[in-house]
Amino acid sequence: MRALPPHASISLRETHLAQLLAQRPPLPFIEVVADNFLALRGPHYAGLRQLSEHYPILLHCVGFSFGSAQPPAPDYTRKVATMAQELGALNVTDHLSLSALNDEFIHDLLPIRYHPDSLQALCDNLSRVQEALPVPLLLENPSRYLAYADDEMSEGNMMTKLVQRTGIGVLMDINNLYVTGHNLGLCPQAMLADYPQEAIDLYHLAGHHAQPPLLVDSHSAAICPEVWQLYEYAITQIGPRPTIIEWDNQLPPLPTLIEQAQLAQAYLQAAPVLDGTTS
Amino acid sequence: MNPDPLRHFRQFGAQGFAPSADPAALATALSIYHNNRLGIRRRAVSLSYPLTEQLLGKPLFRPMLKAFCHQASMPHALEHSGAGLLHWLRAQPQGPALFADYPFLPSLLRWEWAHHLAYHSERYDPASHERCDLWLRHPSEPPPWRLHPALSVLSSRYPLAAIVARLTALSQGRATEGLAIERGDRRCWAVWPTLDNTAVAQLTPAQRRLLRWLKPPQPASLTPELFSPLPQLLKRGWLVARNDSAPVLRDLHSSLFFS
Repeated sequence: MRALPPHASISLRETHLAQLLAQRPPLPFIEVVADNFLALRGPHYAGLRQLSEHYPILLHCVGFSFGSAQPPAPDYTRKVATMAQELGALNVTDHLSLSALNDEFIHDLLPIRYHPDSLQALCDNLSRVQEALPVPLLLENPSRYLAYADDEMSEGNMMTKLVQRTGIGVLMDINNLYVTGHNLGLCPQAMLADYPQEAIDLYHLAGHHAQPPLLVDSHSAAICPEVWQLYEYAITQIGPRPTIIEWDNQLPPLPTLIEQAQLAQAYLQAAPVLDGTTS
Repeated sequence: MNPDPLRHFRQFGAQGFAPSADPAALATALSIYHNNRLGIRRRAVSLSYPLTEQLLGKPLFRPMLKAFCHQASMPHALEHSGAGLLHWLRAQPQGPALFADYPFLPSLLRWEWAHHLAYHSERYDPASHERCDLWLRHPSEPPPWRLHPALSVLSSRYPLAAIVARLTALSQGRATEGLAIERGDRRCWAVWPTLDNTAVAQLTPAQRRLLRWLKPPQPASLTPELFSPLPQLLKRGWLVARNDSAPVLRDLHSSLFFS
């Protein structure tokens, strides 16, 4: 992967596309949700192609369903690969979760079992997609609202095994780490310690809301102080990495998103220099 | 509505969901997953019919949307979530009253769905002029074209373009006056995807005749007059190569309809 600077930016929502093109604010790169552009044509895709002439693009996906027993849909993989090629994307990311069951697409990120028996199918699916993509694949930790009684591995151990066997990278969503920790009664810092930290290439940040007794990863609010603290902790432990702000529901004006990215940038710039890390 | 996918998982026992110290946690978790999927679907349908929402208003449109999403089956592609809204509305007890209040509503729903299909249509290889020419001189099965799956034809006695312009202006705060709608002569429009946009145009009778012929071609009825609009149809991309196998959902898209 072409090395990205450890700077902060935003994940594009179509509502902001025209404004971004017209104003071209100084952003180091932009994440795009590939699933919203799979037509690979039309006014929105034309806008995206224009955007890619001005900003490096990272593609974020929700449809590979790596946790399914079946391989990822070839048509979906082909379209994402084509998009990555046409936009000159730097990487493709998706979640450690399940979004298709028995060939039915669910449009959600359902939790998978963290069990040694799940590893082979996951590795097969990840390798198949990585081979089809022209750019590196990164796997993101999902938000979990429940666990399974027979989970035998921590999320970090699962990720470590997958990284070792497939060579993929990791997208660490700090908000997901916080939400999962709260919902499952786990310590986020301890969860982070289990991760293959050298494989973490990217951070996500987002807002959540409470639905007692749980937290919901709704991407509907500004990042809360606790998630900023966890982000600062991750930077201290792992090092500064490129960071993306996600916001989907109750989408604010573009400047509000950019302000959140600037806040993240301040944390990145304040990070201590770790051995082997350039900040 | 499709069964809840979480029911595919064993929810209790050794391979079930892990018990939580808070008994409310599991029920809340399941409701979050359920609401996530429902919310995404409602949003997808809502994005398909923005002008209908503007016309009916949120207090009427949102509950209707909720009921539709609850009852209709979930398509593979999220952008097809609103495909059956008109059909579903017609079958509802309140449907006749709604269509009596807004007699142009079926036409508006078709118009919005046609544009939505065109907006989200995939790329298709255009039909080749040369292969079409060859086929026309020596017809055989199958012809080298098929109608673009996202080409929609719709007709109405209502001034749809004016209705759409007014509703768009209202939604953008550029107009405050309501709609004054009168029936007139029946007109026919085509809505189709272009490479970088969508397009709409009134259909001429000759174009309409040719489109009807092209759908199930009958070589015996072929006449030069019938085929005179063909170059324009090809130029607009209304015919695509039959050998294009890329789109997965083309059957769902066969939206060419006359009302």
